[in-house]
Amino acid sequence: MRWTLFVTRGARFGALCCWASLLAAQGSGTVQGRVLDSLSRQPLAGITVRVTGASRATRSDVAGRFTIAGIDAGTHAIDATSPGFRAKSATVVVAAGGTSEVEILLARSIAILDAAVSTATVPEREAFLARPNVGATTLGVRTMGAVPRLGEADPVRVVQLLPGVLAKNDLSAGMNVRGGEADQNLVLLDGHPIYNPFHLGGMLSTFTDEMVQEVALRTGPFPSRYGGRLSGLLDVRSIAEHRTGVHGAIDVSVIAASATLAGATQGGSGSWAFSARRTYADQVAAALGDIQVPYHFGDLQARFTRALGDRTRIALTAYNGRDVLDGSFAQYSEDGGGNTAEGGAFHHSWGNSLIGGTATTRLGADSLLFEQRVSLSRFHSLLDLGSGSSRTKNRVGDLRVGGMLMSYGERHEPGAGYEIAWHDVGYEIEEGQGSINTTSERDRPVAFAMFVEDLWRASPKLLVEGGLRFESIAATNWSGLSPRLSVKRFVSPDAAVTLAVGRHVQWMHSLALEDDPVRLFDTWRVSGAGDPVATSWQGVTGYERWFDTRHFVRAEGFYKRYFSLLEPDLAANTATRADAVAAADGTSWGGDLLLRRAGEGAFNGWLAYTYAVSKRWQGGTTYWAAQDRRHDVNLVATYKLAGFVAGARAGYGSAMPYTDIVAAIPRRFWDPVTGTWGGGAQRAGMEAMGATRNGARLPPTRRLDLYLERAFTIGNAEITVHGSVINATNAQNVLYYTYDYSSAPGKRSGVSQLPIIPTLGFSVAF
Amino acid sequence: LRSDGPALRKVVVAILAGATFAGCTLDLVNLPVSASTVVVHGVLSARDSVHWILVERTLTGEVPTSRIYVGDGLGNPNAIDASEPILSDGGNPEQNALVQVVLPDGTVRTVPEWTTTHPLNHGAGVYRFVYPRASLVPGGRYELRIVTQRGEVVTAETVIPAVPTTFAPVAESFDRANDLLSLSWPASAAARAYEVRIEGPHGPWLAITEGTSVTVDGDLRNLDTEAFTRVLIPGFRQAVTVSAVDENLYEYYRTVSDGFTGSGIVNRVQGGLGVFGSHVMLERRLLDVTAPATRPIEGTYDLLEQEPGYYYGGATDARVVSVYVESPGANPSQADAITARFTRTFGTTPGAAAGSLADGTLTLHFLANQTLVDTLDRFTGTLRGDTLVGNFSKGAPARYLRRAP
Repeated sequence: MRWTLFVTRGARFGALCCWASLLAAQGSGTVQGRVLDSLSRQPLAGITVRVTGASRATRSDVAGRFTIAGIDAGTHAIDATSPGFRAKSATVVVAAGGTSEVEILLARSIAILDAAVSTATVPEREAFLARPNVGATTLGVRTMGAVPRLGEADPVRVVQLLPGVLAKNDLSAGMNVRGGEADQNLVLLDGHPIYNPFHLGGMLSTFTDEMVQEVALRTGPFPSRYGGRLSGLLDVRSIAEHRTGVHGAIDVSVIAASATLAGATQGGSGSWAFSARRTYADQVAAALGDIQVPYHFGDLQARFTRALGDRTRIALTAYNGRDVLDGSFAQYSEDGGGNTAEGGAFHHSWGNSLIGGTATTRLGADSLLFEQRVSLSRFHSLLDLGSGSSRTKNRVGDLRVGGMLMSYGERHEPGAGYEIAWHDVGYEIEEGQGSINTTSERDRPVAFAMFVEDLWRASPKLLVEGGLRFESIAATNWSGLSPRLSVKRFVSPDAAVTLAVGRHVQWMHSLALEDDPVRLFDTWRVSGAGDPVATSWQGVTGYERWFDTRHFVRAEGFYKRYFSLLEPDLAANTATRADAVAAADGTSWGGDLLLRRAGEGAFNGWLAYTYAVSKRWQGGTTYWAAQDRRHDVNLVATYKLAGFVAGARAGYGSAMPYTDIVAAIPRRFWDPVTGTWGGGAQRAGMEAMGATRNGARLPPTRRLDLYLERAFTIGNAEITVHGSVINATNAQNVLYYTYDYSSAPGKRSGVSQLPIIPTLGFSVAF
Repeated sequence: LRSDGPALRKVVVAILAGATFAGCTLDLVNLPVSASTVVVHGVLSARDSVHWILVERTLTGEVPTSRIYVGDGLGNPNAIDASEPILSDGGNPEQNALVQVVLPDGTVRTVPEWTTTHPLNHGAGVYRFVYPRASLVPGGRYELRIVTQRGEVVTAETVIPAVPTTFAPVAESFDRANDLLSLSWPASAAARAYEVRIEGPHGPWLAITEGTSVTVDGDLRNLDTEAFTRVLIPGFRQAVTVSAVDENLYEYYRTVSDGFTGSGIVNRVQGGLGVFGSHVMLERRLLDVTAPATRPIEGTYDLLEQEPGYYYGGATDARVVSVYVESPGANPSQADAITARFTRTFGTTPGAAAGSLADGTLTLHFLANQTLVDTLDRFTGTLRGDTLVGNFSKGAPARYLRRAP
């Protein structure tokens, strides 16, 4: 009842904003048109179309169509740019209150690896001119493709090299954004939420490289249309194939093999893409003999778009991925010992599935757009040891419906929307073949959000984006307002200062302990029944300066204050819900710097530096957060020349905190049969006794990765052979320490992160 | 089995083992010695009238624990010496401490270190509290006070969780393939939880539950063993116990220290670490575990006594042997795991054996006290028709004839 009222009021408010925008746009006109392939005259989707000299830009849809409203009357140049195509400019005359049509024909860059430098505006500069973003970075597929990879090209791994983003070690694909915990990032696939998108114990993300068009990262306060996480926003966008017929790629790396097929429908009204990926080591080993590789993962991903008439477009995204670690200890015992076959089975699986749809419709005037989304995102993990002797299950269901009404005017771009998420989160621990149910929880809260936002071009030198997000979580009786404000002041056409502040809210929490060096997957828990809702306030100020159309530097400082961050209470009684987690408050502050050469030239890359200080406190104890790395530097460079692509990444990370183990505690076992400790058979376990939490520091880390790619064409197929050398200097960066206090003095050893690893792979694209 | 801790820990260990495989082992570094802490392990048990309180120190590199205990050379070097449970199990005993137990009526009993009464002065750090089991007061509060030679004061207290009971269990047959082990017991108001324990050749299976019933079948696995071996093994006689435990033992079994943070233990010992708890057995059963004979080697065999040899039935005098395939090989090149039960000429307590069947050759280790660490004799032979033909390790040839089903 109350939510119905909210929706109604929200819609009314949004409509008012839209009408205000329409009224403000009366002194201008609209440009609309199509972008076509110059040879085939097939429509081209995803082409950036921009009015030169104005901060107005859009992208063509699957029918190649675009509309830009609110253009001042007069003559304008329209630029159309996209990677793989030569930039094209067209002139159009716009009449007040009228609509001008234009058709732009784009020619392909025949050799995409040529060193030709496009003079078109790169997306980063478009964003600089158009929005008061802070901490926003977009990476296209070509930028990511040349970064050295551990077998598989991985967009999330590349994102970890951006400023404000920290990967704690080589084995973690989790991201710590500006001092936040790894569960504080909202990960979206085509706008739909996806939980824990990682494979291989966190070493790879679930996103297949061939299916990714671009990745957008927000490390600062994000617009009010986004919610549910405290720190970061990673928006992964799937490809939209613009060529008719069936095209695709097959990629084989040392880790997995993948196949992608894609195409555009006749007439350019839609596109489709399908990708499958799987590790193959287990299959190869099985084919070679009795060798058992107990691990594999696989992904299936599909994307479908279609235009319904010339005003509506629908898009469907589907993903399913699963990691499986299973087998039997009997298979791995050495033969001849007599009892080799007695080993029991283990099964550990986790994975995501997502299906989501989006419908976008232009309403009335072309400057009014309504987008409706619906998605079902699921995550599950199952740990079954000894065929049911111990079983731990976690499942997350997220059925989400959301919509947004947007208006594009000359001065304002208001929008209003809503989001309702039905969560179903279950967590169970069973022992003794299910007869001992240690923990069984199931929470089904409904989260409701309503938001309004507006981008206001106050003057040619001032951009203001503000918003307000109302959120309510039914199970907790929690509700609150989260304001967001971002201001950009241009001090010159190529330089601007920004200021942003915002409040964020999070009610889904991971029970993975941030202090542990390896983050296998997240076990999720939702606020409720005494678990608080976590909140944060953050403020960012920055300066961005463009030296020309491709080079820029951006420096930002940030301060974040967290409240009620949940983490597992290791000493908790897991049977008592309220006792299972502990809440901490904290701060993060620091700054980051990005010096980037963007665009599609021969040489690309960036230098990213992050300084961050992260502190937490709970129960009167203050400690450094596990991700409190003060200095993080990454230099990424790619160079394309005559069919070759070379890439390199050099990284340095200062000391990471860890808890020093200062003693071993004998933990003995009482034997009720003999009435003694130990009973003659069961030896004591030696358990760790820690010093001050995160009071010690691991040595700094450094890493150099190299990449080389050679592409050549056979018939219609482009064959690419690529190789990487990970950690080329074989730096022994510490992953964790091990301790032995049975000797005098005690000894400490440890395990390093990835050693030098050469990888080789190839792909065939057609 | 402490809640979900060990299970998850195994997974983490497995992942870290993978990381270890991927990474390199770093050089050893000597660590500075930090201050050690007193560790107490004490239980007031309604099982008997001698209650053992172990007092030792955390290991900080002060002493090389692997060199402390040299043993008497008589026992199995891999087993814990019952008279030196700290020294023989990697501990650093706290000797000559003043240990006292305050009874519910306020009486203070001083507990002597075992070295003062042991004929060979064994029992370093082991304090022997003699107190009649029948005198334990259900619901009564007992306090432990320890003052070490260094002046440290450690205190703890426990409440007896149930009324002590006596047991005289009769062995019952348990078919692992078809029977369910169903246990239920009355709730005890003073108990925090209940310990269910099944003794076995690979070590005990232990579960802590706040409920009053447990039902498991023959496929139950012991996750505290390296390879998740089965809990119920055909051929073995296995004790099953249900006990009420107090809050302290409950927390001690339930919580573990996280290997990376060194925290997580719920500790109720003041001034030190460990546990001072109480434990009252509520039920005890003895299972003679069997399994259906479905494979050629399986069955009950009688010793053919007319065969010459140094011993009939080897050193263990195994006259009747029931052979089971505990687990078939996971692949054709792997041996079957074999277990067996045997009876002697004299005595009513059966013995157990474990071994393998590879390429038609049966190897059986006849065990002392049904423990895998103590082999009395080994039989190696082959099945010829219904006859097992082979030799014991001490030179005695032997032939066993299978009984008709």
